[in-house]
Amino acid sequence: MGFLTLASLSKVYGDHAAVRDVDLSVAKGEFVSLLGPSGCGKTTTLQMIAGLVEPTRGTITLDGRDITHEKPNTRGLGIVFQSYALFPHMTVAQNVAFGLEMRKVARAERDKRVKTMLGLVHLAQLADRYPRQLSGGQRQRVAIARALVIVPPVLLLDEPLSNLDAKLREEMQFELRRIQQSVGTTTIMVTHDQAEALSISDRVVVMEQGRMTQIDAPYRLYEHPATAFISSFVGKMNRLDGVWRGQGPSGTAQINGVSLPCEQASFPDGQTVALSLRPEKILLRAHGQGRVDGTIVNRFFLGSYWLFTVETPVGALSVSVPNHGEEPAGEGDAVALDWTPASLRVEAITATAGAAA
Amino acid sequence: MQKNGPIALAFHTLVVAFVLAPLLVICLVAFTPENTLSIPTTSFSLRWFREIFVHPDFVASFVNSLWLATLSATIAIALAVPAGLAIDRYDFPGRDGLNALFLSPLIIPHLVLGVAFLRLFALIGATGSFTWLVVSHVIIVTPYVLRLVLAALSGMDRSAEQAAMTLGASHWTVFRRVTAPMILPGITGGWLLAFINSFDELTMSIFVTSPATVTLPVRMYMYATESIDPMMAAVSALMIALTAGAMLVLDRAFGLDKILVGQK
Ligand SMILES: Nc1ncnc2c1ncn2[C@@H]1O[C@H](COP(=O)(O)OP(=O)(O)O)[C@@H](O)[C@H]1O
Ligand SMILES: [Mg+2]
Repeated sequence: MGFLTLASLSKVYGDHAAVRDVDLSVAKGEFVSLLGPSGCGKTTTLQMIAGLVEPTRGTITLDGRDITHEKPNTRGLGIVFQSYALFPHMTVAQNVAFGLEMRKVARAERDKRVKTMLGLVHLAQLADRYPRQLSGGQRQRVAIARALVIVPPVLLLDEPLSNLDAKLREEMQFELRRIQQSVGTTTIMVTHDQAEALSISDRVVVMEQGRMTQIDAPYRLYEHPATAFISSFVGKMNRLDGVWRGQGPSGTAQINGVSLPCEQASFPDGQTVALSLRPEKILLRAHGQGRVDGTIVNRFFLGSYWLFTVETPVGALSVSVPNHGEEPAGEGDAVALDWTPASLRVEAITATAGAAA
Repeated sequence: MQKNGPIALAFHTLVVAFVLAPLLVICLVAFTPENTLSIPTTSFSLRWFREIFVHPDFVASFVNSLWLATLSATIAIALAVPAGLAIDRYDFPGRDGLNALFLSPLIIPHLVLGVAFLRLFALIGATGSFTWLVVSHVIIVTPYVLRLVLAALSGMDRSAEQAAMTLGASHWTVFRRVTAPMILPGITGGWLLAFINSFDELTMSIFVTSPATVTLPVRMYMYATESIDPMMAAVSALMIALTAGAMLVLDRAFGLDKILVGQK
């Protein structure tokens, strides 16, 4: 039994199910991300946990206690809103002290805890500023401090980094993880940014149209996406349609008559299949020395790696190659592509999807 | 911010001049030593200001108006804030009706209201009652307050209230510590607007005041129908000075733009 458990949690608005039968068990101290595209029900799920949205069905259990119908002000959870929702008429210190004041913590104790918390988020010098005098990243840290100072059993974060610019977002990801680890609070973060979810979570929950479709550790999610949607949503992925030739396990996947070595699989002859291969699992070789030949049509330099688009008889493939400090092959060059068979994944395409392909 | 072009600048200057010129003229006339409304040229005199104080009815009316405006503006706030919260936050049957009811005095001519209240007060035997005078003023100033409160409520970030709630605040505490301070510009602006509207309301008050409750505008009107002398200008000048003074104090204490426009 987890520390925080959601069982068949659902929310229906009129005839639209925003969240459907979500089951999730979060362990104490764990950092879990809810990942999914906009409108898939992440915020609704989080707000049900917080008590700000009444669930249509299902239960929420915290540390063995059923909190499904408890008021938000008695749940004691810490929440960081997407807009940060700071109190504009209070200083940073007053914002952070608010939750302690509600708990009737004595003045001296309160000041001490606010000070410690502001130190933790590196805002000690800005204690007397008003939110409007702070940058986006500073506001976000005030929001985190305000939520954490009450020592909540669970910290809920709704897209806490989405209002920050790219560089700051990356810094704050790790900052967030550092803070979470130093206080050890069980954390659930909502995000639509897969890189963010993968980099700082213990586990990632993928949501699609109100449902949870996969719950896994980040690397497992990346290596073994459960659905076609997840494989394209999480990281870059080459996806090609092919057919299975030959009977059962002795057969191979083919596209336009070219056989492509792939993972162990078994399909009936003539089955249409979807092939997926990560760009970084493909190696660039000299022409004629790989599994398929091709021509480089595009080359992008991305700092730590190069990204190529290679036109081949089986279709255009993205290939990423780490930057070793030398200039690699350029546009128009003839090359060959190689990969280990296990990294090429094969899935049967259902009849309707196959007909469209 | 875009700089104003020369035409825009000239336009603004003209608008300000048109608005301020009559006030300025009145203030100058108030210092005339003559018996007629004239701009003093050779010497200034305070005789018309002294004249006010030998008319104790003016002083009484002034105090009366001050009380009336303060009370009606304050009661209007007490009505408009809960009403605004209900209209903004909840979807209940009759919500639009309530909104329309509260705003309707805006579109009813004060003349009509005056006659209606005159009849009503006569019927219930409230003629000459200060309390009922306050009631009538509350009715005409509440729409202004409600409009400003509603604007402030719809402009505020609701998640701040949710944040306060999750931090352990009760509904009342959320209102007192978060909602009210966040809509304070709307409340203060509404109060000021209501105060000013009540303080210089004439049309309706002519009907509903009795000799015991004559307001300052009504007193001035009655006086002016009989005789026109520079004492009117002196009273006006005092009122202008008082308003300006109040604004100055408010600005010093809270910052006017913060109260009326909202903090940025
Ligand atoms: N109060 C509401 N009334 C009706 N529909 C809502 C309400 N809140 C959210 N929804 C709908 O529920 C779905 C999920 O919303 P949300 O949880 O905010 O998605 P996310 O946070 O993943 O972007 C959306 O289709 C949204 O339009
Ligand atoms: Mg959302």
